[in-house]
Amino acid sequence: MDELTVRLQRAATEVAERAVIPAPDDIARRGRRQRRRHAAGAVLLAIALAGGVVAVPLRPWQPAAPSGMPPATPSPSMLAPGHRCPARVTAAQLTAKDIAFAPACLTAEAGRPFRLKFDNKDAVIHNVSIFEGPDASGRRVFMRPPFRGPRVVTYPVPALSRGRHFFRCDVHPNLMQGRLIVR
Amino acid sequence: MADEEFSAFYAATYQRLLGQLVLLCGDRAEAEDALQEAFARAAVRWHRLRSYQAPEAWVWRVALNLTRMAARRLRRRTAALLRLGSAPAAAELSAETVDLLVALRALPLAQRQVLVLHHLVGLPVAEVARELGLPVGTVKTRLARGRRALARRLALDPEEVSRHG
Repeated sequence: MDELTVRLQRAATEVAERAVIPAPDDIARRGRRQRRRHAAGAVLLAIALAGGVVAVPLRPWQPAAPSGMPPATPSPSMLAPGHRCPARVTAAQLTAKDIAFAPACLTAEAGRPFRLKFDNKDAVIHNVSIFEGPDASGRRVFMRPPFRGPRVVTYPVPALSRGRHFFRCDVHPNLMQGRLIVR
Repeated sequence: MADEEFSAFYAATYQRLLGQLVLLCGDRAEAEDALQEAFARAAVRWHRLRSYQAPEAWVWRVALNLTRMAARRLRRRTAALLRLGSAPAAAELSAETVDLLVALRALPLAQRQVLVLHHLVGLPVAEVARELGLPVGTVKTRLARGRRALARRLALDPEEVSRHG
């Protein structure tokens, strides 16, 4: 066996041995959650294709835009519809559990710094990044390094501009996303 | 609750597949995310997958596709995380492994794939070609280039490395 193969195998073994293995129940729960999310998305898509002229709002999580503010645009993110932003907050609480954020929508006051209490309940690393706009293609306005849970860290978040923001965990960008409405 | 049989399958395969996928991605967080996602999908389809000859191959393929889709995004994310310093988990690996991951990450994904499938998973060249839908000659070229580039970056003896295969 040549040296390169030995190095590759040694590295793979080391990574495998030091891995934090999530519980199988957590993995199964993650699968069920995603299936529900897809089912909800399919229902909404069907409604949208049917004309969208039914009483169910297509984007119920969006706050009522104040007059003069441009209407929010649809987001390409995978956020499950159906949740509403909580009331205006200045000390936001965000929890990471089972590779998901709760709540998936936060609000903050424009132009006023606030404290974000991040409770990582998972035994894997998570972080929080905030972007301007509806997805991660916007300017990154806040980012902190990932840390392993269970642990609670409170971040001072600088004042943000009015409008829609997007937050996510950079370690699990597909699964841990949310909206931050600054108004 | 996860199916008992699925739990056993998961416990028996997770670490090994993670080791292979991390080397293929060059990034542990991305590989963990993709592999956990693949297992999550397997969990809800287990009643069907359990009858497959090799459910592991299904999980591997799904994880591989997820990492391919994530490859472009990964480059941006890694750059951002590096600016902030390495994540706590990365510090747990030995310097030798970190060097190898950095060297692998510098290679094009096409070369990493053939290196990992051939040298680590142990597939013969013909099977690597079938797996990736490539001509055998292309796989051989990528293997040779990948080996040379890795040997250069890791300061291995390039002659010793290129004599193999």
